[in-house]
Amino acid sequence: MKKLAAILLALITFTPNVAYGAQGDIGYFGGTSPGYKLKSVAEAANPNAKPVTKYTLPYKENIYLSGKAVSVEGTIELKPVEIDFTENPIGSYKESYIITAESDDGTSQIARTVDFNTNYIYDAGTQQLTKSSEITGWTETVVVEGITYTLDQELSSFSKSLLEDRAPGVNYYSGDIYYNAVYTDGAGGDNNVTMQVDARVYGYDQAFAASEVQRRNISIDTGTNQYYIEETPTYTTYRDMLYSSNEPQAISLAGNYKEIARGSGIIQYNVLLGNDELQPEDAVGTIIIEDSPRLEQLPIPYLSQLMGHPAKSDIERMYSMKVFDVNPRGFSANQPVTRGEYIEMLVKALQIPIPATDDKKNPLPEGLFSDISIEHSLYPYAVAAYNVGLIQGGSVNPYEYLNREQMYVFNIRALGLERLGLGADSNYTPFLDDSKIADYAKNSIYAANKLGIIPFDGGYIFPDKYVSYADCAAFLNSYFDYLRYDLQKDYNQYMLF
Amino acid sequence: MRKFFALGIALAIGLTSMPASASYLDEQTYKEIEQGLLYEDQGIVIANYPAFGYFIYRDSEGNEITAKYYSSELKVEKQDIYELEDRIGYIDELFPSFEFDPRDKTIRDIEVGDNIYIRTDRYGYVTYISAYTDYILRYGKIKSWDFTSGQTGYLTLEDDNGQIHIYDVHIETPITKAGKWHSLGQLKEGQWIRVLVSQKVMGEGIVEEVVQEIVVDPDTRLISDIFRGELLHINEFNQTLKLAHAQSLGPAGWGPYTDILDLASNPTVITSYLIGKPVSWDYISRYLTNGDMYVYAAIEQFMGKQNVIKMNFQSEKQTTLEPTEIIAAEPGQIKLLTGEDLVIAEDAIIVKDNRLIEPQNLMVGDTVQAVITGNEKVAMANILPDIFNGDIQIFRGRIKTINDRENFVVETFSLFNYPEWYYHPEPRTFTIDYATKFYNEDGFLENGLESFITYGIENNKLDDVFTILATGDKAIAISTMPYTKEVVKGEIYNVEEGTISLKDVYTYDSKLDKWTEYSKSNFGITATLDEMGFVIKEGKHVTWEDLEIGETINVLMQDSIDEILEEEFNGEVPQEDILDVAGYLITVE
Repeated sequence: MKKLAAILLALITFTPNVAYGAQGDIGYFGGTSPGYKLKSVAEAANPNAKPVTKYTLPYKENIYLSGKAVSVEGTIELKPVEIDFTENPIGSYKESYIITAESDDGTSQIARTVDFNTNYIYDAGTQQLTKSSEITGWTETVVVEGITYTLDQELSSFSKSLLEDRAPGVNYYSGDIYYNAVYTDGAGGDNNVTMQVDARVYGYDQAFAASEVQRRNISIDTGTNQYYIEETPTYTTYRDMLYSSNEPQAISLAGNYKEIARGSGIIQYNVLLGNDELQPEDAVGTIIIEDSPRLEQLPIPYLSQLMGHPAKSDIERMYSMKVFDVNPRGFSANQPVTRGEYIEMLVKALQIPIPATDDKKNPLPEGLFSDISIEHSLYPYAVAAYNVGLIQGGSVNPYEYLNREQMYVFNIRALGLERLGLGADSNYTPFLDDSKIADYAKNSIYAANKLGIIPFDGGYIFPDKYVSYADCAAFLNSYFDYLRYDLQKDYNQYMLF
Repeated sequence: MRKFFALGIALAIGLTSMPASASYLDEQTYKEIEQGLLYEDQGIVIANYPAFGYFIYRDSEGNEITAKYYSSELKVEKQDIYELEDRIGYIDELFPSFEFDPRDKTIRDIEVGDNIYIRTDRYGYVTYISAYTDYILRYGKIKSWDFTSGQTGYLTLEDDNGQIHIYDVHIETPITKAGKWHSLGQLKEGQWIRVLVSQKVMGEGIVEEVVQEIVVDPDTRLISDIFRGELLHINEFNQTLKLAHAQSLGPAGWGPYTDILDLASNPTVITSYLIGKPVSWDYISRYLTNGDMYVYAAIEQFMGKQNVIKMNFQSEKQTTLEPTEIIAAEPGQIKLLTGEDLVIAEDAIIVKDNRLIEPQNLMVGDTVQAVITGNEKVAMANILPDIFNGDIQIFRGRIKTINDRENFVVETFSLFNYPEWYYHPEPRTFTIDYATKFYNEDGFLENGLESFITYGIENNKLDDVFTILATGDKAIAISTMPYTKEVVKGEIYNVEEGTISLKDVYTYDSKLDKWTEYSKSNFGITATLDEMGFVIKEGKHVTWEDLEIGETINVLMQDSIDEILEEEFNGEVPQEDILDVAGYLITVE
């Protein structure tokens, strides 16, 4: 017991469980941006990379104070804060947002500066982080078609709170925003203009993509008119991967993969109660903002033994992403993958923080695993996987061949979506060889099928079949494509109606 | 037992609010509850026989167990999909008479495939069932929809990964569009929908899926344009393509050329064909850019972008047929009223109701604007909307009474029946509400409803004459515009800031009931929509910005063309200026 306590203590002292303080790439006022670009392969590999402390993004927002949507475009500046919630499970930090934007014709503008004090508390048992923010400074001037509205901070209020759920490979969050913005009547009337907003926030970030969506309900009272608007701002940034072939014949590479980091923000709005003159077709609309893509060339091995192999492209992709690192000359597509190898692949691909092996202040904890020594090359990866809950301590069975059901259990656990399989533990999955699936794996396989990671075609899943490198490359590509392209649809495409 | 009886009496006397459903427990039952003894199990229902008092479920060990119950002692709970959470919670189990619990159901609500948690008494009789169903979400496009029975619809859905799902949809299935109730009969091929499906795995490989709810895309994903041109370049970095010499398809055919047109193009959502055969994005990129091939491209407005979603490459510019009616439609073949027999396959771009549809969705009676290849094959078919004026009627009448914010009565009225007004010497009542729009010489009148009254001096409307747009008895727009008895019609060739340029202009002489050509030289006229005027298109009150080049419109004016010419040009058609007329009512043919 003492030993276990010592291990836990050691873990607490070095575990790099770090979260960025700001989710707010689109702010909390109905605007959107393309989001901050995710780490490239080179950035992720750089141990000396310094955290970003400030960045500015292109920004769009709609103003509804006149009872119709008036779009303005500009920038949002924010200062992300890195917090080590393992070292300091309770604490606070400052958030700040500066937004300036203007309409195409220059008649409408927003100038807004907002500062928050955010208190957080980390629950190690649930691996959930609660963040609650109170406003410490809010200045805002809005000009709509020539009429100026100035925020009265004394009369205005703002509250937001987010809950982060930290799955091994994905950090999900959800929360609420509620505020009352009171503006002095720009037209010189006696009434203040009040805008009341309640919004639900959903988002996630992971190695391949990050998305956020807000469901906002806006009530505006000008004293003489009342308006009501439903608005869904969302943004997504993701790492796309493309292959380009080379035209010259006398070149050592036939082609290679490149990664393209893209981002876009969308606002969909529906003015359910607008000004009297508003035509139905102008009440509903969508605006978009995109940024310029970032390119990164990826290396590719020459795998002469795979010419014509059906999994050649999948395998080359894995090498390019540095998920496979077996010497290409000795690579065999039919060689089964071991559990240890697969854990290492997931840790690399999902950019799970790997503890340094040469940090004397925070040495690697010993004795976490019964079958991997601290000198073993897998050890830091196993510790990384352990820290985020991808594996448990004790026996890892690193040399045991990985079978398909184990692979799906790892994949779903990394996604943190086991809950989608609830109820299937002891019942049926849709596969014809369901009886061969171990009870512990049914939940994950049910969830994987539900998410479309295993397309159901009325067939077999072969849960006990060992996963060869060729299979592994194909399955991982499909899994990474889900993380790149499909997971985001729940936060943008499917939320837009 | 006596003790409990005494307690019951005491409670009955002391607590007048004791629920009528309270029942006495025997001593053993009381002790079991006190000690927290529970007989519980979980499983999945595989048969339910409410009439015989039992159901069969499969437990965690895979055993099939017959569960009996006494209906009077059975409590059933099942959470409906619209209930966000069990708000009453466990307190409802501890105090069953606590309050209304929407989860409370009967044994008949338990369906085969439901996951259940049950409790039994010590004799094995079920006393409590809590059931839940597993739901999944599917998002896709309606490939086919058959609701001819009027009770059950047959839906073929293609999800965004290209997988096909087939469902029976019962008439009672909730269906909404933009948050409002929608009818199953209004579903159309090509629409995007989100479907909530309850999924029950009945056995190895046996999956039962039932549609529980449908949400229809509120027209955020529509075909906004069809272009033709030559593919110049594909930019994979910003996911766009460049179309050279691009032309847009409008009501009057292909529009003017644009040198280079940039369109969003995500290879994962585009389907492409080369002379009937599917081709890959890489093939297009390598062989079909900067060449002589003509491409027809369907553009979908979605998520704020104009995205190419289907491309059809042809070796040369094809023949565009005049719009005509389909008189016969068979799988893979249509016959037109003008005599053509055309082959139509999956490569054809077919657009109906601003949605991309399949060849089998074409129907007899559709008016089609088609582009055909040399071998009578359809490359592109645009189904034109029916000439439809909807239910909007145009009235003119003198105010007799106004019941504030509710309705008003006109003494007599004229009803516009193209191209003339017909007088009705009788009163008529129109309802008004917050949605009724009011216009006067300054244009739209904000809060016009509040000044639409028949008392006082300033705003008194008694005996005033108004033009009224109405659907049935509901006035949707009311204007002080003058009497507009003169009509001119023509084809739009330009629209700019409320001024519409018309060619092929004809004027109507009501005395002779005859249309006369305005100018042999086809100088045309311009019509400027008055501030208090209306535009009516496809049965809707719209703005001048909704008018399109190529459309034929009727313009109702106060004075005749002859009167205007007489006044401004001494009765001659101007040779250097274009005559501009004030239009009060514009209807699109």
